[in-house]
Amino acid sequence: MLRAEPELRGRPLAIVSAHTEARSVILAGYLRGHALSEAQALCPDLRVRRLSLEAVRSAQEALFDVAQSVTPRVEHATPNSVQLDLEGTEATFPTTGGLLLALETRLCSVGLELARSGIGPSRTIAWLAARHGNGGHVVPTRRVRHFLDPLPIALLDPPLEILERLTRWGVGTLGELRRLSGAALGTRLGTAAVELARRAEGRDLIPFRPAPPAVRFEESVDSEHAIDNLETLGFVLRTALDRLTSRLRLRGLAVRELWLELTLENGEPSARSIGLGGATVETTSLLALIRLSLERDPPAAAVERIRVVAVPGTPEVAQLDFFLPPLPAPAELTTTIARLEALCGPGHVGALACSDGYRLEATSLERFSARSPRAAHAKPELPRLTLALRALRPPRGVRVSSQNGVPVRIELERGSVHVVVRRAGPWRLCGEWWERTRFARDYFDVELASGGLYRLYQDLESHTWFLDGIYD
Amino acid sequence: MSDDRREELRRILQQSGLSGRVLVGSAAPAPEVLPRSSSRLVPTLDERLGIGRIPSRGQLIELVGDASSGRTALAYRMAAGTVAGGALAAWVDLPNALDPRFLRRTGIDLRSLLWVHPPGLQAALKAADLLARTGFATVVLDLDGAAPGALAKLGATPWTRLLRSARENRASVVLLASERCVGSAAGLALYTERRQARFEAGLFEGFDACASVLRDRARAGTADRHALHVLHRRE
Repeated sequence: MLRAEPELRGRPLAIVSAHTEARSVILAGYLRGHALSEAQALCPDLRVRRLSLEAVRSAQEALFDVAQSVTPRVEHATPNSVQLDLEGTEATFPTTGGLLLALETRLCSVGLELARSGIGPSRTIAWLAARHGNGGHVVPTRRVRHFLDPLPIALLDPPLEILERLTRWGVGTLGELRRLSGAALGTRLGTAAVELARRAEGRDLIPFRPAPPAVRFEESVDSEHAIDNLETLGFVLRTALDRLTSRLRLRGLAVRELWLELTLENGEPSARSIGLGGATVETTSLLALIRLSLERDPPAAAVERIRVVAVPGTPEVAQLDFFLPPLPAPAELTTTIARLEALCGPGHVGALACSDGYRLEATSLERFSARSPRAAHAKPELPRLTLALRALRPPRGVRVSSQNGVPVRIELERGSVHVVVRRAGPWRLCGEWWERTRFARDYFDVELASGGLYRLYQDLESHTWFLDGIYD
Repeated sequence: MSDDRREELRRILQQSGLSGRVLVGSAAPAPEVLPRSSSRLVPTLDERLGIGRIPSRGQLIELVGDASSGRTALAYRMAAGTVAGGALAAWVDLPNALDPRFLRRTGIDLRSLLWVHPPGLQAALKAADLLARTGFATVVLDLDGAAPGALAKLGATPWTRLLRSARENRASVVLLASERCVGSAAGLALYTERRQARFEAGLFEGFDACASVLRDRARAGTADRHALHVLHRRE
């Protein structure tokens, strides 16, 4: 909850299942377990927030991301804790102090706090090191017994009846439990006691099972009130995107694909894909693209829940060339393209290409590539001065007077008739005759007496004339 | 180093594609290396436009003229020259008039030219500014489709801002329009006009045009004319 609203940090806060009911019990935070009405009477300044399972899940994922930024071998231990296999991380973090500092810093960057930590030769010892006292203990292998022996058995969360029996026997610490015979314990208290004794020695009962890396990253926000304007929605989205990009940065990743999933006030879901020019972690650009999409197609009702989903991609890297001019960094270029898409709209930025088709006007948009492979050869070939065509999209319908199918006069605008002084053509172009979109055209290049060189065609099915482009 | 040896070295560098990056000269201030001999008093059009691996100078270039006068062909050549030199080029296409089939005939790799189609004039200016600041060496800003009078209403502010971005990043912003609108912010202004169309053997083969230098801040007092032969190169 504090991740979404960091301004609540340090203030009395109560998390309830439904804050509209005065009888709701406080689930977490200030005066936990009390009725909400009672807590509000005791603390008039109490801030109340509804429990958001989405926010909890996002926080868990963020915690996992931070752990994975240290080592790829991470296991979910409990909903609010993770276990890390630090084997092989000595080169990156030579000291435990440095490791803990890095963890604290990274947790802070995603809006979390390091509550407790512990380091030990096994997961059980590390877990106990985190739980004992204020946590933060580092237990080297040679001092395991010294650390474990004085710890109370209750720290292992044993079954209540076993704990009571052991207490009656005068066994209160892990050291005392370890000194008991395992077979005798099993005979009297069952297998649970044997397992407890093994854990008291610092052994792990189940093997380490590292979780696979995330294939997508999510951040969710449950709004207290339905959001009915884009300005507020943008504000909420920015915090969610900030958290999302912080998590991706920790892992050295960028947003390759982005989805926005909204739950509306009327309960209906609304999902949309946000087109990106390339992988980026720039919150400003991502927010601009989302804003553009929302402005173009606003939600049908006020928004109650927001979920931002990102498919990660590797940020582009480039090797500078000794013989070629330096280019902007790939991340900078990607951000620029994303900003341009936000400014101009999706489908308006890229590398224009000729479509694989029969129509002369057909074009397609491909991904822009910063450096041509040909440029690497660095052959100084001066480009040619070639004829250019300024295309008219869509082709402009014109009235043409023709003799024997050849244009002689063109009415470019109403009342503005131009005489054709020279012409070339026709050349016929037809295609897609196997489809309903079939076409057949006679193309001409014409020079008008008033100036101007045009390409025009006659559609042979409708016998109408179109101006296709201006030579320049 | 004698003049002959220097010329020989320049020729070798030009053949090996290094003429834009290696300066030939003494420890004195390095002369600008041009693809052709710069001994003539009147520079060629390529020298003026910076075509042929000359580092960008950070300026606004205006290419103005009527339809079918060759200004777009010149812009094609500038963009293609930039990409061939390994730098970045972009085309801000307000009228959505860029034809990739014709552009490809300059020899350019289309994947290396960033095409941007802005929704309006202000967005076009913003896009050009952003591209210049990012590090694009040549940004062609085609404003031929702007509403009549819209360019005149802009005033000097957007052009000054664009010039500053171009100067700071050594980019060339090439403005394509039917009439001059940049004013004193333009480092180079060319006016193109068509002379004669070439129709040969029933085919349209291109046209001859003329580019007049209206303003050249770097070479003041060298207003001159250059002949253009814009030819239709079929694939």
